Amino acid sequence: MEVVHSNQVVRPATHVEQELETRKVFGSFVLFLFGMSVPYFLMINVRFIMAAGFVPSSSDQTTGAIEAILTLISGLTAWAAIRAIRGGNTSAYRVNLGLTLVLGWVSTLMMAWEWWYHPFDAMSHYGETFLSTVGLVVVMNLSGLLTLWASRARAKRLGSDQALVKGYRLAGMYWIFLVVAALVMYIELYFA
Amino acid sequence: MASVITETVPQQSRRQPLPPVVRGLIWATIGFLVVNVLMSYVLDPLAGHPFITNSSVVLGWFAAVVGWMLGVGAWEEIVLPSFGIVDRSVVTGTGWRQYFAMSLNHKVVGIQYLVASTGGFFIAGLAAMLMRLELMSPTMWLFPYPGQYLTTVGIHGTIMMFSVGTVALVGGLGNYLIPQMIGSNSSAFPKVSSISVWLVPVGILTVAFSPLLGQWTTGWRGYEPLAQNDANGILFYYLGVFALTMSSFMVSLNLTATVLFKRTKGMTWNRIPMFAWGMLVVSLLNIIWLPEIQMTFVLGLLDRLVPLPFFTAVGSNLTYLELFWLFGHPEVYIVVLPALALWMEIMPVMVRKPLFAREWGVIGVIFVMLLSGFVWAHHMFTNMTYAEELPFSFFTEMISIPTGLAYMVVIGTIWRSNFKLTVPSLLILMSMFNFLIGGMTGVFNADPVVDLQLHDTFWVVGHFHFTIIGGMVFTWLAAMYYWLPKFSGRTYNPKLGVLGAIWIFIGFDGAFSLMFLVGMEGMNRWVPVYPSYLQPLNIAISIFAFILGVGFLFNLLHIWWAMKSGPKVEANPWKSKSLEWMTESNPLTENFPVAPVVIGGTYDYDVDGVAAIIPDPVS
Repeated sequence: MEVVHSNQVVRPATHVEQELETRKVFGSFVLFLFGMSVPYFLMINVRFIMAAGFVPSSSDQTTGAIEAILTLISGLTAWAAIRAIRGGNTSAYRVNLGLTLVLGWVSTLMMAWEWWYHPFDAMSHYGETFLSTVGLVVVMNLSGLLTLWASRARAKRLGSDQALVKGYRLAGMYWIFLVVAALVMYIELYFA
Repeated sequence: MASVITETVPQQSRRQPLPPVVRGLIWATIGFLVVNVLMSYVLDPLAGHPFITNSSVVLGWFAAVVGWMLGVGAWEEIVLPSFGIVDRSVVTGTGWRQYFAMSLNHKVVGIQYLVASTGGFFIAGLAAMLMRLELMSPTMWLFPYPGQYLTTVGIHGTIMMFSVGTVALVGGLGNYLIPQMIGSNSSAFPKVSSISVWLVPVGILTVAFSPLLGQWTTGWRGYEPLAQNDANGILFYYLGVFALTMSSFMVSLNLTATVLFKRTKGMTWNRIPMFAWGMLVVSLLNIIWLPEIQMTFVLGLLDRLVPLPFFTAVGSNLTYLELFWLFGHPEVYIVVLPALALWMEIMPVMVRKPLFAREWGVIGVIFVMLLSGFVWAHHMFTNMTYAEELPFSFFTEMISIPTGLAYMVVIGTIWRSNFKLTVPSLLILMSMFNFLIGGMTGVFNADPVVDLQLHDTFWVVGHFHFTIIGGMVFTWLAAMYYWLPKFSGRTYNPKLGVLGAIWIFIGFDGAFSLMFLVGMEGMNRWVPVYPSYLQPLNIAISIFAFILGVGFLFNLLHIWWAMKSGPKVEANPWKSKSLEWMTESNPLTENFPVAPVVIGGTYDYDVDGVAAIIPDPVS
């Protein structure tokens, strides 16, 4: 089978083109997040249909609180990473993203552990909702962690320019979205 | 370092070891085997060590899909670049090979979607022929067990709705035409559509092979707790539809971004083509509702795999229906809205008259989109109290008003016009006629008192086929004939086109109008047997259905022949003012070497002159 080897002809983008490209990327990202928020809203809906506001006394509030705090801090480090790359500081971006990855992994693994060793009956209305909601958060977090890892690796290999910075910012913003969603799920599972 | 925009110029060739599709199949097989064996022998073995278990097949399927997607090109085009490993050699075949690989050319992607969708149409159509064969007798004769008949019903409905209804006009025509219509050389995110199309064959084949896991009797809805009574085929229903809806979600993101952000100079909101409006509203519906149904299916999967009692009698056994129809009703508008938009897109060209009340056409599609989220429980009138029924009945009746605006626009356009009866215009008139019947019978269904009698009868089958086939499939065919010169530089045989249109009209209207009668006579849905007094009507329906099936084949062969060997035509045989007709007919060429500038409305056929110009390139 033959393939075509493409040669890339490069010309500088005009200011208008750059502005349109930025609007396209960030506008589409907003649409993407809008769609990604729907499963979370659905799980809030399901939680109250299935279990109303019930929270079992056996619920492991300590682990839940630690996960939430780690998640929150990872959101702050992601924010710091975004600020760094906006200023063109690629190494600070990578450091902050590295911290975010560590915190994100720890909190996600804790959630997965709690998902596996749930301290209440999984067959109860609350239990089934808890498992599904935490499962959703874990799966989405894994997608966010993969995105962060890729972004960090890309920053290391390619450095940064105006076009690449958009992607680096979006990776951080996606993680922040996941943090907010996880915290909302934490509140509605542990406190509602 | 300044931001740059790159343009690709194809150069020399070099050999590649494996065709992408072959590599995809190999990696999918490896992925499935590794994960399946891991699950069934190591992590979650069952007594007796079966090779396939529920959890192993589900996780193995996900691994297979990942392997498939990476193999067809996502590894080089998406994964490696994401990590900064930029492979500068674009893996693109030449000629027909481009259609069997990931392509960044939106026209190639459009053709890939259309071909996949057509394949799904005929697979699901074959299932329908088997169903109609069975129903020619009041007792079972073709299928040994009712569950097998119902599984065929489910495969038919699922593949039709999720790989044809949702995909053909949006993924197929949307990807091909929208960038051209708005004056762009590409969609907003070419890689998104280039990879999403490869989920369609995955979804179709997963659903088609679901009987390998056992029967499932829920139909295209996947109802829980009904599925609790079934074997395990329902797992592949959930997974197959998950893949198909993921494809549609990705395409919708791309098309929305394309319409919003890639319009050429002069393409103001007032000048956006009607088909682009249709794609915009449909894509917004997809972005909201597809993640909702995907999460619902995840809950259904967990119900079976863990198992969890979500939707069982000790759970909340109507919740699945609520969650499904929250998506399910917007879904039918996702299917039909592009068709309404296409009526308004094509008819002004056919009649050489300005589009009548264009703004009201746009308002109509927007309000259908908005109201579609308020009507879902009309599918569940038999499970509700009277007070709960009222708002859904109200909104269901109301949604006919913005739908009617599309009729007003088209009829106003063809009123006192120089109407040319071409194959596209004939098919659109047929579509409008059939959809009108579907819509009017929907008004009956919207009344709870009537619906309580008609629910789960063949009346409902007639109703939704008149809206879906009558609305969407007839319009799809009209669009294929209309844009055939654009896709291929050739045209069809008008006499064969008219013959094909009348053929399917007779087959379709004969079969499905009789379903209203047989439904009112008491024939239930979802049963392969019925009282013998209904047999004559069923035989008549089946004969018309076979006529329809062969008619669709005839149209497919005619379109195929026309694209390959039809008479060659000029670039814009319809003398349309819209931008896609300013491009070359060969899908492998660039749309606009120089970006066009829109200077007028594309439906202003009362004004001489073009709607867009190509400025001289700046030297």
